[in-house]
Amino acid sequence: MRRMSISSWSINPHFTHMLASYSLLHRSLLLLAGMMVSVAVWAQGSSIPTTSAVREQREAAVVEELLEQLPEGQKYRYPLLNGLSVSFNLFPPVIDLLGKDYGNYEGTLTLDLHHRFLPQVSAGVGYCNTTSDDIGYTHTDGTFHGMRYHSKMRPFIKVGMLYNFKYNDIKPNDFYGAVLRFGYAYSKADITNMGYTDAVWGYYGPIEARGLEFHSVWMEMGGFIKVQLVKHFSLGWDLTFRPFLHKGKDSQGKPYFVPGYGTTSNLFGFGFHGYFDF
Amino acid sequence: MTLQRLYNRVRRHIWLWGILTICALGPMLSSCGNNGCEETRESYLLVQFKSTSGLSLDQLSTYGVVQDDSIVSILSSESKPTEVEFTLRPDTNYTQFLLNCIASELTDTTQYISMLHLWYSRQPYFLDMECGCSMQYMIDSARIEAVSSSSTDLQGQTKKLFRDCTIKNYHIINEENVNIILEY
Repeated sequence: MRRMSISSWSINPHFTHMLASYSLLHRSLLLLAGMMVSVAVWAQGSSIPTTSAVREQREAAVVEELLEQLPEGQKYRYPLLNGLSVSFNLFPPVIDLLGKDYGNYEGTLTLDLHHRFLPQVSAGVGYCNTTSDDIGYTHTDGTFHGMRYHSKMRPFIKVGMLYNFKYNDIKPNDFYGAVLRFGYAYSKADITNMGYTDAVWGYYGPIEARGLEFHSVWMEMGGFIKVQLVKHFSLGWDLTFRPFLHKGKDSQGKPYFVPGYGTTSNLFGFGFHGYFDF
Repeated sequence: MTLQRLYNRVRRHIWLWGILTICALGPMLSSCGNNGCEETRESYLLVQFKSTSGLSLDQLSTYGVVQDDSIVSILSSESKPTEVEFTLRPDTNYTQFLLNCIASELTDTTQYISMLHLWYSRQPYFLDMECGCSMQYMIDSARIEAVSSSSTDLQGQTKKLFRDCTIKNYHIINEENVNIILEY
């Protein structure tokens, strides 16, 4: 009988090399994805319901249906001024911990009208200080200096509305809905250590472009959910598609980063919000 | 009790949270990789040839010339040209190009060598972090002069091929617009 030695079970050195070359961000995202899958599997692992349990569920559903019916002539279950909440987007600070070289910090004030329309105003600041590993200026002594995009912390504002599909639900603490927002930001950037290579005339550098100014306007549309965890505190996620209405243009270039938006190449936005409800 | 309630709330919406997570992680992961530069960095000076005489431009070879009058390299060589593209020197505000032309009129074929001089201002234009920058130029002035020809006119002077040099579009950016028209 063939016996397998311990050494034959050792991990392939190519695999360990590949793992080592992964950036911290890659590894963290993989870990996050793994955790999400684990939570999903854990949550779905309930036992098969018994006959009596099914009967109870049916009875509860009938009671719920009766409760959900509104009196005749009443359009809304909840009053016009149904509440106010202050929220903070928790996603950018988490991303900052993963080593991103730009960030946005955002607070939002949301008004609840009939539990259906939720107009909101967001304000915050964003900054970017990134250096390229691939593009840049090579000095005559051979040293490479990565191109640097530096945008100081600048404010932004967003105005919009959430629409709650479950506005007449008897459980008012959970929301599912659509998002429509418009954002505006002013940013100013300095770009240094650029190099330019022409096929005929050769290499030229270093080149700088300073004081680029951008006025950017964009739209955010998508979906959101908000779930109450404890009294006066909820968590919510939103995923939005964000086309630019006006990206901003300077005679020296285009914006790479817009406060409140992030990098201009990423058309999808993601928010993870903590809400304090009043 | 609170933990149980929290668990129940998360569990109730777990499928939605999962979908949102996948939707969010998809674009995030796709944006992690370096997709490379997909924009055009070069800005070309487009020169158009326009015949207003009976001459026919049969052959054209173009050369870039550096400050000490040495030729950099042949840039293009084509027969019956109507347009030609050049890139300007990004390190100075002046570039000269040598045009070696063979033109014919009926049975008479002549070689003309001309020099195109261009003065301009330049500005880097930042594209993005994958591409870096391109160069944009604004033409200040342009001039064409005859250097030599294989035959002379009646006064024994070098024959000129190009009679006029007109700037049609002063901006040289990543667009295919005619910048200069050379009349012959």
